[in-house]
Parts: sequence; structure tokens; C-alpha cells
Amino acid sequence: MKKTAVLILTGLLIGLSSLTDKAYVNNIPEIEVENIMKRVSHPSDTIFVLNFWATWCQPCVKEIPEFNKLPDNYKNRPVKTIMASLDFPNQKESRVVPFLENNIVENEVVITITPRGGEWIEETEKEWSGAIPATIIFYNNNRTFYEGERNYEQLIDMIDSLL
Amino acid sequence: MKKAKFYLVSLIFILISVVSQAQLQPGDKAPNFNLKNIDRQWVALEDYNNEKGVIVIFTCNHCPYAVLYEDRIIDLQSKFGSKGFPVVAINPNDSTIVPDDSFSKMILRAEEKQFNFPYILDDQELFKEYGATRTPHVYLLKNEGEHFSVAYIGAIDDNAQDVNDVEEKYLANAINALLKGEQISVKETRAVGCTIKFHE
Repeated sequence: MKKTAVLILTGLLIGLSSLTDKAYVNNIPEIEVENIMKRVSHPSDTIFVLNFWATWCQPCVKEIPEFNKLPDNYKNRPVKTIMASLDFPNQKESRVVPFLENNIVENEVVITITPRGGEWIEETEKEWSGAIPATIIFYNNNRTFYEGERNYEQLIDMIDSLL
Repeated sequence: MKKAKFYLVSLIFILISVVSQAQLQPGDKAPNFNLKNIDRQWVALEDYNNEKGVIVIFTCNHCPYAVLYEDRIIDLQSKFGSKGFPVVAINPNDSTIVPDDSFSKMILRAEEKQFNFPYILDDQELFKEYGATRTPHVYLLKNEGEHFSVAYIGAIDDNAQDVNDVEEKYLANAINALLKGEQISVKETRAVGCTIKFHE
């Protein structure tokens, strides 16, 4: 009897947790790139790691586990990593949601809303040509940028260069 | 003295590496090339000496953004090829990194899509001389008589996803300006694309 209750409870819990996962996956926020930049470039004690990626971009998908490894806290400073998807916003349901259901992305995912044309790319980061993956790291009014694939050690080196 | 010499040599090396990674700017002289086409013939920039210019597009098979522009590149050749601005598509990716961008896959893709322009393989890192960083990445070249200069760098238009919702045809506008002998109003644009894959 007790065993059955435990089983039912466990089942319920698993069910609930997958429900919450599902709810999260379906509620990926869509945010204007300008507002993403405001959030990460605001001077604070937090190290912000901003990665531009897309489900269709092979090197982006390959480097996601490296971003998953980034700590929440590094050298006594909070670290916040944001994975900004450049998938087309109208492909959220068809591409991004299924991708997140089938792949492990530990960090916060947002869908990036971009204005028409490419001026926003230069406004976001003057060194950026628009190719992805691209990563910008912000800390205390400073930033560092890399266009192309990075691994965990290289990301840590980027962070260290700002401290 | 020896030390000074060492520093001088280092400085020269640094300068060379800076120059070799420099991005071309509108107005710069376009680097020559001679690369193998999918029909196994060589295609060189000087083959186009009798044209008004050349639409050089660094593109590839695998990148979804490049795929989104394939039909538009075919249309560009149909529209501007006979007006003196033919298309030359160049695949800069190393197929040991992206197998879909191999020479044999290039031939297959060109057949499938009935490419009406040369599709040549950059196995000499020409993209670095141009400063191309992504696919697709366009360089509109203008024939100056003695050489070709770069007239426009960037995107084909302002909407990769939906050809029916394009507002600014940057490349076509630049070509039309050259055809009319007018100034190009937008000489450089940026766009989302795939990084060029090569062994560093």
C-alpha cells in the first residue's frame, strides 16, 4: 500500500516536473535586441555572458555544452549567461521549442527580435559582422567580443580578461 | 643591436599579419583570384575584364541563410548578367569541417538548383584577402579598366527569410547606381549568416 502511494507520488512529481519544463519551453520570451543589450550592459557586479546562436547553426549547437558548463558564480561574482536565439521569431514553435525539448540548454534562452536590415548588428557590437556564433561578455562597463566558436576554457579566458 | 633587429623583425611580422587580416573597404582594389569551378575549368577575375563589374558572393551549400538566398542569386544572374554584372559564387568553407560543402556536393547542389553562374571552390583562403567572414557575404566589384574596385560590401537585401517582404534591395540598388553612373547610397551593410569554416 505504502509502496503504491510512493510510486503514485513519484509519478506525479515526474509528471509535474516535465509539465513545468514544458511550460518553460513554451514560454521562451521574445525580446528586442536593444532591450537584451540594455539588460546585459547595465553596470552591475554581475558578469553577463551573451551568446547569439540559432538552431540551424551547427557550430552554435556544438558549443552549447561549453556554455552549460559556465558557473553561476566566478571569483565571487555572479555570472548570468543568456542564450539569444536568432531563429526567425515565427519559427519558435516549429524549431526552437522542439530543439529545447531535445537538447540540454542550461542557461536562459530568449528569442531575439531584430529590426529590419543589419544596422542593429553594428549597434550591438561594432566588431561583429553578423556571423554566428558570436559571444559578448560584459562586466562593470567593459566588454569583450568573439565571432566564432568558443570552448569553456576560452570563455573563462574572456571573462578573466575583464576582471 | 641584435635585440633591436629582433624587435624590427617582430614588428614587420606583426604588420604583415595585420595587413593580411584587413577587411576590404568600399573603394579598395579587389584581390585577383583563379579558382576551380564545378565544371573543372578555372575561373579568374581577369576573365571578366570585358564586363562592367562582377557580383562576387561568398556562399556555400550548408548554411541555411545561404540556401534562403539561392533563388535570389539565380535571379541576380538572370537580371544583371547580361547587363555587364555577372555573378561568381565562391565557397570558402573547408569540407573537412563541413562535409556538405565539398567540391562534389557543390556540383550536386548546382545541378539541383540549376545554377546559372560559376560556383568555385576557394581552397586558397581568398576569403581572407577579401575579409569575408560569413556566408552569404557579397562583394560588388566595379571594372576600373586597370583593375576591379570594391563598390559595395554586405547583404543582398534586408530580409533573408521572406523575399516577398524585402524593402531594400541593397545589392540591386548598388548595381543600378553603377549602371546609371550614379553614386551608391549604401555601400556597406551587415547581415546574419554562418561563420566561414576553416582550420585556424
